[in-house]
Amino acid sequence: MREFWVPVATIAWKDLLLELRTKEIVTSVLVFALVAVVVFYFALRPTPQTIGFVAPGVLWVAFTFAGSLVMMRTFVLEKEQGSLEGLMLCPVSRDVLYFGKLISGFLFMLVVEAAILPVFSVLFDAPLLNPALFGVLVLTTLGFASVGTLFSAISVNTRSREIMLPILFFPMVVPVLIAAVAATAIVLDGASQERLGQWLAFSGAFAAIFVTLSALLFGYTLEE
Amino acid sequence: MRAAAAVTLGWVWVALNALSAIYALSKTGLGVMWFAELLVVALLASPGALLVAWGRRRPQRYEEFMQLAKQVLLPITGVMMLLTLSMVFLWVPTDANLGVSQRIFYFHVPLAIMSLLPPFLVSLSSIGYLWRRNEGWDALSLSAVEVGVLFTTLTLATGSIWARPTWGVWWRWDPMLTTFFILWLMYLGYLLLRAYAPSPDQGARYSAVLGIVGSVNSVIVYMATVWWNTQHPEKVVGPAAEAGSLDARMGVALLVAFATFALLFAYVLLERLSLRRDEAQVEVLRAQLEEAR
Amino acid sequence: MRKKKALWLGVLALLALPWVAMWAPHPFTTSTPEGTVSLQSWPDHHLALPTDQAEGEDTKAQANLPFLFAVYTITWIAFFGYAFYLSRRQAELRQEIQALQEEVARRRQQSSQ
Repeated sequence: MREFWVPVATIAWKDLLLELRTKEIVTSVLVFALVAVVVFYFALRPTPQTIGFVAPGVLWVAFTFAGSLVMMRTFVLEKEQGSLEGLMLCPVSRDVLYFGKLISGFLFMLVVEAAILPVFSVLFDAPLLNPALFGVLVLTTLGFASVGTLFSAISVNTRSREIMLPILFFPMVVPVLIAAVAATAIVLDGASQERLGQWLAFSGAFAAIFVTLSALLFGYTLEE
Repeated sequence: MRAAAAVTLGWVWVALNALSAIYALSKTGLGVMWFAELLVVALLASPGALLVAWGRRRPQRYEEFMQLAKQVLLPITGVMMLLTLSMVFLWVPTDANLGVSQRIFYFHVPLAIMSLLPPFLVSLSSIGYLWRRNEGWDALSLSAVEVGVLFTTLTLATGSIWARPTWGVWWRWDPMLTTFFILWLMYLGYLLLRAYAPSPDQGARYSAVLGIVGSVNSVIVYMATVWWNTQHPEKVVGPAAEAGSLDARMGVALLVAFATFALLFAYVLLERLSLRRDEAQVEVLRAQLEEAR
Repeated sequence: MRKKKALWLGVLALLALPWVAMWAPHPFTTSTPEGTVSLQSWPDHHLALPTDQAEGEDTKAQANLPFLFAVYTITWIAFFGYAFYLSRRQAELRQEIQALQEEVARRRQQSSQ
């Protein structure tokens, strides 16, 4: 157990340390997500009556875009600096690499989302600083990061990688996006709590399935 | 390690499919579709796997077999097509509620069922490829996806054309429709991934990974959309859904149409597979030419 | 060559058949004998969607024929288009294989000399 999690933590810490020094990923994605929210506001022009319908969707679309950008950036940085080869030379199994990258990507996404939420709840006048939303956020982000890590490891090696990741990533996260939007809507209107639990269970199952599958398959994406 | 991972994956796949089949069987009649699907897969997959293994050991005999199979399948499919057409246009009674447009079902339903076949084939052959690294498996999954694009496109098109006179709209975000649309997008992503891969070998590996993950996901998308729509109050239940049984002639015509499209699927798949063989040969020859230089 | 011609004639016949059938008098323009035959009981909810519009007059009889024929035509055109594309590509590849094989043989000969 120890010999598994220590290298995982080391790899994740490496990414976090780099990010703490440069703050490159989080700041750029944060600004991007803010711009996206503003654009959505003007595209949809929500009134006080419609804002309840619109807000969860806008929030999660912004998070999905931000998520795909975060995943892309973590791998592009590795690729550009040639450190992906270095990682592959590490005497650890490939699923250790997967979990390391998963954790760092997951944390970056959570930071961006945590920064967006208060701004969003002011702009859209939605009471989003709700503890129930925390569970939705964590599970959905884990689902995003699980497939996002696998697919960005694939698409970083392809030509036109910027377009490849969204093409693969968005259809893949549709189920968990549906669950997130539905759960957020429930949190916002404070209705049936039972339904909320079901959606959370669904997101958790999605994350569990794809973390397992991706960890098993990650090695095949790194071979030369 | 690789073999262990592949075996584990195989079990995950089998378990997920079994779970989804049980889930689907518990929900309405859709289970019939998945059940038929599993049967067809069981029928197709075992000779398919044998064929792939065989193609590696005895390329000459394999080639001969493929040629023969195509030559046999083509006339049979043609005759079945004519039979289906004459049944659909001349023999089957007109539906009392839906009128003439109900006849679209004889094309749409078999197409839809056959376009659910590729996810199964792709996940199976992708696992096979990652495990054995046999080109035959890769060829099978690529061909299945390409044929899947064709079938899914046609399913969406025919369904839409049926929906226009019946529902009054070309499209509805119904669970089935959404699932097929996402499935279609994932097939296109698969083909794009292969096109943009840096080398054929990497393309094959990446797309095998995508094939497995995507096939699992298509089941989950369906579940999610079903749940999502049950939140809407306007859950639609047909007035005729409870009453009346399927007219015998309609059932026969549907079965014949299903057989026709299954044959058509097999034929197109074989054609695509033999094309893939030629493509591989061109690649090998080019590599030889590079060496000779 | 004759085989190919026969194949294309078959394709044309298949595509033409329903359009001919559309104008010929045939059974399905009359109403149903039983009156309640319906595929809607086929066990799949998306086939059994309800149909406020279907109750209307215009969907009863021939009004939807163009939709049926559109489906038919699109389906077969797509299949034959794909089959045509495959056979074209196969012919191209066979030619390329031939050329490459000759080239490889020539290079081998050169290098052995």
